[in-house]
Amino acid sequence: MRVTFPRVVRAEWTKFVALRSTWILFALVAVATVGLSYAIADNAETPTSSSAYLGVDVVSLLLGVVGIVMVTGEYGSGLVRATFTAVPARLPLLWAKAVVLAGFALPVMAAVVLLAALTFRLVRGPMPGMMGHAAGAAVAPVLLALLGLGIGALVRHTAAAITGFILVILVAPTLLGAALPDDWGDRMVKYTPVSAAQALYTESDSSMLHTGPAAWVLAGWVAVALAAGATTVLRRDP
Amino acid sequence: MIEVADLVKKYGSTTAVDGLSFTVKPGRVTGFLGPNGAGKSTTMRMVVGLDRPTAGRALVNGRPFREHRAPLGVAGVLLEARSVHRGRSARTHLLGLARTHGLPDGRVGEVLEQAGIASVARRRAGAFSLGMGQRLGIAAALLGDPAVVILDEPVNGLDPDGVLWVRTLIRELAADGRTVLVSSHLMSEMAVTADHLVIVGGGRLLADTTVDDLIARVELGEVTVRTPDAERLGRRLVALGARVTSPAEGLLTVTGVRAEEIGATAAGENLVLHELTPRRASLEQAYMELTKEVAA
Repeated sequence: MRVTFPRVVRAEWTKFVALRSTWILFALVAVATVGLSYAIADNAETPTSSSAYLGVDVVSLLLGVVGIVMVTGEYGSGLVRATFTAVPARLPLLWAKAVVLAGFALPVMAAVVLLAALTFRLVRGPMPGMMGHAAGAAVAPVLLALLGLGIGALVRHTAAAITGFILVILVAPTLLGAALPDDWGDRMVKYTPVSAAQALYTESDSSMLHTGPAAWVLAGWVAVALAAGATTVLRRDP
Repeated sequence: MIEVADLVKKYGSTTAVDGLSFTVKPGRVTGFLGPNGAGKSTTMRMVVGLDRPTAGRALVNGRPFREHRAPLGVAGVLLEARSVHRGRSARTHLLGLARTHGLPDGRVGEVLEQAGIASVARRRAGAFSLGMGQRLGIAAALLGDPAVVILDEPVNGLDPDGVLWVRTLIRELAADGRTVLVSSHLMSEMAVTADHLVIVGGGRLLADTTVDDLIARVELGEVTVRTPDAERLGRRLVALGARVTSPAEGLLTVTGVRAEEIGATAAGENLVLHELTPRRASLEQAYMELTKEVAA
């Protein structure tokens, strides 16, 4: 009997799948992504190779919330005190949550994205280049969920963390574009998490990073958020 | 064994725990007593590594709690504040803790049974009454069969059945040779369960003592004497400087001289005594006396 990392992962998995909210949020994700793909296939005048994945923009927010409440739900309910006495080193808990979140969300997103692509194809017919974006469309929301996990650990309060996440995801890019002089705004915007995420599953143009650099930029944001979250988890009294 | 040495916890300008030192030994129940806000919960949280001390240290079985490799087997904790996610069942809550240590799932069933909540194990913890929540917290504390058990106000919210169960459990845990630290703000609760008392007030140690010693410390200085020659003895004692009242025929209440002197005086005068009793303070009085000094 002792604490090992695989055991902490197993425990976190048990906790994650036992929550009704997990299943509700992922069901919403599936319905929204596939539903939007169907609607766009049915109605769009000039669809592109990434039209089938437009819903991913929306569900990325939901997945971010899943990541956030994985941590803030523990602080809010007081469960964190029990969890920390079982694993007083604390950091293995955060890493285990990241493993569980990615391990659960990635296969689900892969299935959802494939279903969205299939739906699009059935309604609209084959679309060149569409399958090339599938991997990015599945991975991008998972990385944003991990970003949410980091922000949740940093902020520790559900409402504040969701507000912060939405500021980072939605408001920051717009503000940057407007607030910086000349074309500096445009040049910076492509490095924001949401723009980097979108670059993973859309046809690249001059306003976006290429897929490779975008993946690194987004992974960098995730690393920064998780590192910041880890610092608070370790330093602050729950 | 819990060793607390020069422990200090400050929140901004307020000091919750102010240089506390004491040791909790195995094989007996140590009551951790003090008025609300005395720093009991904060101290307990520091012992299990939840709060970082501003200064000093707390060791559990010879090491800081965070350094143990199987923390649930070292110390089981029930904290005063609820530590359960309302959306999970009692069973999943315990599984989520047990699996971090590779404890078999059967162990969860055992503690649920022991805490008397096996029948509601699959209900969402959010629907639990205060008493059921308290039982779940105690079940979680027992999960790793810990050598040290720390319970913060364990009888809070329990019905009389539950209170009796906790008292018996606490005594059994100590009889097993475990280290048991139980906090309460009620002396009456401690009087029936604790062998040893650590009393705090305003974040400081007021007493680290046994129940008997604490009572003896508060000297009421009143002696009850029963004698057929109450009048004669009374006069002799007044001559010695005592204050004597006679609440009833043949009964004297004496202050100002000790029981030994009264006995010697009576013997010297060849007076018969039927009773000679130094009045003892109740535990409650002793506790009030002790905490009053801090409040002042």
